[in-house]
Amino acid sequence: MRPLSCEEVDELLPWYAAGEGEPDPRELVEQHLAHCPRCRQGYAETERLAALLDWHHRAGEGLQRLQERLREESQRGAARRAVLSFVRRLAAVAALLLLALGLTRWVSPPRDELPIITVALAAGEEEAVPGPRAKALPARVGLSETAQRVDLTLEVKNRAERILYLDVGGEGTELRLDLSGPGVRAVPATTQSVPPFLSRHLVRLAPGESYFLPIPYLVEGKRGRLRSLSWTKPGRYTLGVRYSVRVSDTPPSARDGQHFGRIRTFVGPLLTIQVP
Amino acid sequence: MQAQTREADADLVQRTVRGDGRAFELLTTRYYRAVGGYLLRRVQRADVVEDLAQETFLEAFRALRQGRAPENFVAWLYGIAHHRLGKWLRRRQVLSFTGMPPEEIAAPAEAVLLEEAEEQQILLGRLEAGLAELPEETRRLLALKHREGRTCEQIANEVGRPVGTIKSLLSRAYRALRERLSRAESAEKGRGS
Repeated sequence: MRPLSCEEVDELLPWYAAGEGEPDPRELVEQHLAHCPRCRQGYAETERLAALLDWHHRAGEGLQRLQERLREESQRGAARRAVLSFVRRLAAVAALLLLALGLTRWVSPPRDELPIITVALAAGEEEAVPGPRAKALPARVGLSETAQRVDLTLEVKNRAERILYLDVGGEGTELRLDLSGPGVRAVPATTQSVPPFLSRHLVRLAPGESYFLPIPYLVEGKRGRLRSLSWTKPGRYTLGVRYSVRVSDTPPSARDGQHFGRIRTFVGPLLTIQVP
Repeated sequence: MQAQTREADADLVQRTVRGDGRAFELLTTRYYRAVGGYLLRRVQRADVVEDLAQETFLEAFRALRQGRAPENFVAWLYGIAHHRLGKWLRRRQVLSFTGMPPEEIAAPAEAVLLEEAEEQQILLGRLEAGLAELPEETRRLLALKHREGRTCEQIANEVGRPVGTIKSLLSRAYRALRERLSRAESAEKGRGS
């Protein structure tokens, strides 16, 4: 077959670049390009022009698609806030139920500065029910959420009529968050800067006083084995909270060492969260 | 003028941070084509460019909604685009296709980024000017080809003309546009040297 001239190749380049050329001329174009730098330059320019034309013609629709996605994302954010508002109402109902059951002393009064919702934590299984002293230590959970993270605040309030001491971060400190639903992701949390697991410290609680534990990124577990939880799909989720800490009504002495007080576990009612 | 744009951007950024979604929409209208043009320089595929541009803006939007307000929005935005592009290139292992050494892809200077983006903007401007000079019918054929993704044969069937005529009209348009772009670039180089 006769080789192609530069003019003929130039004519065929757009179709060759777009993959529309017939097989025979394609082969001839390739043969020509192999030894003609000027046509290779022309080929590069043709490809660039085709890409520019594609972008020029499609950018408008792409922009519309992007703006739709952004609007959906904004709406999802608003829906999430609405869900949290729902959860807050749910929490209020739970608190009322506790009131009706005569457990009012377990419920902490709401505090304006607490994020979004409050749920009274109640004792769970029989073996986890705290003794009389620790029974006076209700706790509550607050959830707050920004676009990418879910935070939790735990309040431990001393409802007893005497001073209580908490060994926060000490041996036995553990926070369990049971998040269940259609898509739960748990990734190891490398940070140790989550207050419940930060360096061991003693918390002295006067009667009626509260201690707040902010827990960012739904980090749970115990020191050295922390995980961060998040949801990955829309749907119905439940979140259970269980917090264990050593509690005593006498200040620690040197001989207490690692075994100050007794481990008490507080279990919260399940929160139901509808993720849109 | 540039300072005014930057100020207007900063205002839109602050409004986005405060939760005003409409403000970010205005930023997308202002920069979507330009960011795509910048990406196109390295990846000459409009479908990939669209994906990367969308990811870029979504990432920027999420960061702003988390309260992160950059000092220079445009440089920051191109930085995100560049980062996304680098990830895509590494994933596809097409570094040789772009002819760019890996270190250039990995660590762009802000000034270089903005300069490249501006060059692409100028190039797109020239293309638009060239298109405006073409006959209406040819522009329609180009739209069928490049917006709808039709082949010459499909276009011929749609407009009821022989395939040869369609190819000939499009070839003429491509040549005119190519010449216009390379002429402008030669003039630019002449001024620069």
